[in-house]
Amino acid sequence: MTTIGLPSEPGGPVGPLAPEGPLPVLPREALEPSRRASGSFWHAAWYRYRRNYLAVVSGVIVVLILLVGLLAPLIAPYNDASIDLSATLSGASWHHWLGTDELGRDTLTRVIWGDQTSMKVAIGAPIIGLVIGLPIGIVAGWFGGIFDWVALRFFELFQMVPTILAALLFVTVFGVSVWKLALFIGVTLWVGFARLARAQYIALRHRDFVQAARAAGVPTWRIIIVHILPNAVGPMIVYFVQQVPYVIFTAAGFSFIGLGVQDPLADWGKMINDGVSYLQIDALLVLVPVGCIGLACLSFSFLGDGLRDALDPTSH
Amino acid sequence: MADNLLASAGGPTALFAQAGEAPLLDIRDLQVSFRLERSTIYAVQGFSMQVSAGERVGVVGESGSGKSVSALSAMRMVPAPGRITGGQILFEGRDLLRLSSADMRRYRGGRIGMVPQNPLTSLNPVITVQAHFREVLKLHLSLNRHAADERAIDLLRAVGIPDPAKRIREYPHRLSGGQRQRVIIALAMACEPRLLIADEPTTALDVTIQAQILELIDALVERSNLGAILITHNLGIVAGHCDRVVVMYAGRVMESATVYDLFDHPAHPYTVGLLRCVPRLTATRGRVFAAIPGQPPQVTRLRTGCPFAPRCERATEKCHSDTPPLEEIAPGHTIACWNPLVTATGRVS
Amino acid sequence: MSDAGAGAAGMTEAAVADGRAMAAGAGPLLEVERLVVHYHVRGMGRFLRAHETVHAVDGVTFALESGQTLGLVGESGCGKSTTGRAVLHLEKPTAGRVRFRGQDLAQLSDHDLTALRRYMQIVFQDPIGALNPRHTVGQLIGEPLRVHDLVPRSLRRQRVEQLLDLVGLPADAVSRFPHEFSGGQCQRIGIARAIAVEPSLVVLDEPVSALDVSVQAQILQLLSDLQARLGLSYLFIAHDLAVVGQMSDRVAVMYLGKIVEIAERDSLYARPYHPYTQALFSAVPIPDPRLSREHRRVVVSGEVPSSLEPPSGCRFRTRCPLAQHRCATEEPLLGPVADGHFVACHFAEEAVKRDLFGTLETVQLAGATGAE
Repeated sequence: MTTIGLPSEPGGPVGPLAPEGPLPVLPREALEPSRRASGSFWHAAWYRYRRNYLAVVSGVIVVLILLVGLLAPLIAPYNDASIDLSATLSGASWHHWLGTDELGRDTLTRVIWGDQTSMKVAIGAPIIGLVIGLPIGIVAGWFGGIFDWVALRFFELFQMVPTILAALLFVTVFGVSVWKLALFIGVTLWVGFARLARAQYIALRHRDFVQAARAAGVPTWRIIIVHILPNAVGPMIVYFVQQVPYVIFTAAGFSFIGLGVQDPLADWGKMINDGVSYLQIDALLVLVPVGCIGLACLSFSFLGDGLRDALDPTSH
Repeated sequence: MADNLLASAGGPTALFAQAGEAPLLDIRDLQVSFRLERSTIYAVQGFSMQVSAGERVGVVGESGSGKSVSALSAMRMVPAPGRITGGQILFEGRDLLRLSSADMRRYRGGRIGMVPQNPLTSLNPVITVQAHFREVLKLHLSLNRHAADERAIDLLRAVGIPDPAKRIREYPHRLSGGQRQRVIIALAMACEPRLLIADEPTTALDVTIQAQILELIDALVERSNLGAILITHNLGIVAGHCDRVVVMYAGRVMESATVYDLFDHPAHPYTVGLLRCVPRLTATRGRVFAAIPGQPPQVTRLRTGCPFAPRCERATEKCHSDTPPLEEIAPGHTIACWNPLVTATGRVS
Repeated sequence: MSDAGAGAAGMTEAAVADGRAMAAGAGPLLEVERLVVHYHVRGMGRFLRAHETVHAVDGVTFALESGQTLGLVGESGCGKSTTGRAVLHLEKPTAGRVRFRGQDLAQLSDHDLTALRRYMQIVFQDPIGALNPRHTVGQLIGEPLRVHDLVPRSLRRQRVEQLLDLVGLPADAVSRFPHEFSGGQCQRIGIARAIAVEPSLVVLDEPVSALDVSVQAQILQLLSDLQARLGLSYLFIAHDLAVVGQMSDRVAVMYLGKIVEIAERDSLYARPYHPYTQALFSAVPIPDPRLSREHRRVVVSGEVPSSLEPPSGCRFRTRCPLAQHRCATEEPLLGPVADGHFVACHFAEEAVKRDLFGTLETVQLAGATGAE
């Protein structure tokens, strides 16, 4: 075995690790052959997830929903805003699989573009919530003391504010666009993320392996990001996914009362709002977006449950 | 009576108990396994043990040995996902495995008392000590509240809790670890059981408190002529507080003997190794430490062959291929080994 | 140190002089002076009680020479683990001084302290909990190397494999995760991590308490060998007198935040003076059925008082058979009773003569029969 001498400081007792002279030979430990699936935490989680059929199906649906939104310009049969006044309010037909609305716009196209819009908000808002909440939660949880106290007061302050009304206020004051909507809703989500991060860091900071890192001289920033974060991230992923249905619903609600995205853009909520007046004539105009919202919400929900069970096997 | 006198003198009551008296508890060839997500753990494979009235039997083993599971099985309280898959558990002549849940419940806390491992979590934190006693005494002895309280105070006094009338109204978190364990022992004794199962009763306690608790258990066993099972990994405890010892490894019994026989003439290589490993107060600094290489296994596959063979210095071909049966090599001394240190004729090999 | 200062340290003048002589000579690796660690906890009274103080460590003084092992023994709540962490400044001491290699840790800047951490490491009681479940063994052992930049990146893996070999684990452990190992193996990993940076001092906080007996001996053997090979100094914290006795050159007995007796290992184990030490010895179960039944063994009564309100004067007086009025009013200081053997008790001579708990009889009996 080659010797690697460590650099020694004056007065240090350091020398090469290889011993000189006869010393009792330490018995060698034989390890059991590593079972295929018992690798990293993520490996094991993946295998647990795979066995949960509901979660897998939901996951596939979620991926499809996201793909449709991503590829909207490629797969929508018609141009998004094309108006064809000659074919208004027609039911399902060969040309228009889901019919048209009162302005002759193809419903299927609108649904697909609505997917993109809805997903922008539904994913964008939790991202914003995470970006704001995670650092605050980490600071509160890791440093504690006055930081924690101040953070908790902020949590309480923000939770006093009714989130939907606050978002409505923002919209009326600042106007609305897809990203503004994501921002306004996202801002109301940060407290949840922050609380979760705080709880994780409070729980983990006293664990022995964190103390070991401190004893080894690992700098604080590295402990937070490299040592603790991988352990804390599981519940946060689950929480993230579980916020999506809430955001979809909330954004749809905004659109329903006319404070969401405006023409010519559409998201599913707006489509419901637009279509409700024509419910008697063409129910598809309402049923389709409702179905989409329902499907998306359910899928994300079940996916969230599945992820939770996969990432935290002790939870059942 | 004679049994009691002998018990107090510290002699082996086991030999006398065997003379014509049926054992209080007779476990025969017990099998317990745990079905997990991707594997099965065979926690106990063929465990047999007898306990007589007035006798203290120690079940010794390391982690994965199945000692806790074996003894908990006597109350049919194997934690899920464990299941008893074979064997008989005869208590006072009746096979407990054939009883209905309702009938079994009458035994638990009634005829059989248990002292579990962790005193901190074994008491319900939201009800008072008094409530604990009332529940158990009403269930098994149908005592009303006043009678139950009186009995509880007597019991607490018997286990050495000062000022029991006041203590009884307290919540568990107000008591120290040692006091909680005493309360638990009192609860286990509340309905005058015939058998007491103590699952590592002192592991979570300091050594000075441990000594107190063990003395208490000894006194109770003696006074009421109970049978007792003491589950532990500490050979020192076994030496001082048990009449007979069963040594377990990987779910099987390796050796079973009176405490004197086990310490004076250990025959199984595992027992010998274990005895050598026990740290002694008199050992001087810097000696080479006796150790058994490797670590205790978790049995996930049923294999033939002695489970200790991989770590045994006396292992032969046969030890790896054939499972040694439990055989008697001297009166009251059984062992499962192809290559023991003491042959059947009593000579050291 | 003035008399008052010596008194606060819990040592008589003679003991202090003795300690100074030791320090002046070789320059001990670690010097702990009057270490105090108090925690503030919110009181749980009916009315919102103000903060109460947990007196975890209340004036502990000792020194550790290079290459030696000091055993720190006591039951739960005595403050031994807290002392171990305070020595490394993982817990901030409330008062007192910790001097490592002559440097006062409290005076160091964060940067210097981090640099010094390379020479003082720790091994924890819970072998599995001490390892980050999301990191591979290679990452775990390599982390201190990376932090202190001791080995160029390209050679790091080789170094980790060397260390694994040193603690008796195969090289392919590098890519595995902690949950794939047994308790004893995890402790080996923890030890490999501690010695990776070739420290001078290793604090061992109950390193074998959570392990099976057959594995305990393996780990103790490993620690003993490593000490010989690498010239390590150990602060060996444990509650098991027998284990401490096998590993230590000197032993200190702690009770409720104070050291009640400190001596060379052989001197302490042959004749423990302090009543608490005697009680500890007598409570240790003896793995010999005849001895444990024959000898007169008295079990100490009562329980450890709360560290929120330690008893006045001598803290052990609530359970001590020798307790008298003086014990409640005057706190006993560590004073010499034999060469290098110090006891904090007003009636130490009487205690050892009366053999309060049948301890000495036990030790002598065990020694005489050679029960090993």
